Amino acid sequence: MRQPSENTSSGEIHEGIRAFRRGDPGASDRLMNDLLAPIRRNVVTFLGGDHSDVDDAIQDALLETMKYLERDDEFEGDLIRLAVTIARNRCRDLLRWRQRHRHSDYEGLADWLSDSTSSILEQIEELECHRLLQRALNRLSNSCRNLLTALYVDAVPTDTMRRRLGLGTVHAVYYRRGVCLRRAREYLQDLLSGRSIGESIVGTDMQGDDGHD
Amino acid sequence: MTDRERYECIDPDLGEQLGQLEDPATDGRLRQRLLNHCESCAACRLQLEIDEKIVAGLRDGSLHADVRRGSGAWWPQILRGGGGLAMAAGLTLMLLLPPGSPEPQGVMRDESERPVVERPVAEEVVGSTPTVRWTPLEGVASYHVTVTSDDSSIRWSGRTTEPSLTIPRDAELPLGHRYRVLVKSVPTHRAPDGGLRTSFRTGRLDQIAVYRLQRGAPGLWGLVIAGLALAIAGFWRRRPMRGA
Repeated sequence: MRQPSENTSSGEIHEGIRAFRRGDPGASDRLMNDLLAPIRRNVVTFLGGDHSDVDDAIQDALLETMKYLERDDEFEGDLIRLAVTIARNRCRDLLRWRQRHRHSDYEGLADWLSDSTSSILEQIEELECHRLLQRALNRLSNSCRNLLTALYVDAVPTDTMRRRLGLGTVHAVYYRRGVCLRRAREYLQDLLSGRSIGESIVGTDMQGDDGHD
Repeated sequence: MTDRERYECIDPDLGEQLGQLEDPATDGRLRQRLLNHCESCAACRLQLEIDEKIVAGLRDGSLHADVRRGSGAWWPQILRGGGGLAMAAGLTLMLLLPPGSPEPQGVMRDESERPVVERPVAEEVVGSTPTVRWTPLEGVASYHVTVTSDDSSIRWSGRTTEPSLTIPRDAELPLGHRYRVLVKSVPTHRAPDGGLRTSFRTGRLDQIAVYRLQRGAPGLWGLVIAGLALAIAGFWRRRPMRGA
């Protein structure tokens, strides 16, 4: 087995991918070996070297990367970047999980845990999620809101929308829809990061919640 | 959610095309690639989940994007509009109404009927052809008005039977000077102290405007400030709470 390399060239990586796809024996190990060092470096940077989940995160990222290669036989991008991003996302999951699920004593919670109905906390989360989505929608431009309302509330056929908007193809309608939803997601992320101007996650509603009445 | 907490797309070139999943005309191979991509990409999975929640909410009516219903609270617009109108009204009235005199307002009762030059008020900034107006005096046949610059280099006089006189265009007063006005009555003893006096300055339109704003009635300034406060309240929204 080769030693993990920090300097594996992209040409070598792509050759490794091709070998892996051809089913060459050992290609999988070689690729994982090439990915190990950058993944480890990023995971340690993200979680800290003494974090108990470092090895799990690395292992998860390696396996997920190989699965990705198996599933997508057209991938020709930067595999190291892909693997590192998978690892970083995994670290985010772990950190978020730790934040939300601090050590709990499960004894005595058996009845509660076996209860399949949603808890008050889950209902609050759902409500909060709903409020945030509505606020994100409220921030969209009138044209976006009209488009989404037409598509999903009034169920206007896409081709009719194409004519209404004066667009050449139905694909352009979907493109616009995608842009509008992306803006909503960006507003949502701004709300979650507390960067939104004039909107507060908690506190008095200045705009938007009036529509629920 | 900070940037450090935000998921990143593992293959942005492919992730960019995620919106095409909704399009029925999307090529089956690309569709499958996108679905495969989402299995490994937390960012795109989250994106799809949010999109699905929004679409589902719109469809079942729990969310709305209707422009009429969701255009936001009405009161900020009322505040902005009302505040703007109040400011505009206050400033306009200040510019149009005669300025207050800088002299003490506490006129003694027995002096309240004392004849005075009503316009320009003392030290008012006016244009080059101001109208001088004064309290009509009883038993007066005519008035003799003299306007003299401080350094006496400019002098104009005129006669009238009315209690006002406008400096004619052919005798425009040079701008940027201070002038003294003396209104004498004929016969002279009808005017107190030998005549009615005031002083003024000539200036450009912007100088006149600044003067009038400076001498604006306190009530009008109150209107402007209240309007400004309302407008700010209309624009101001609660700052987000960090870490909430």
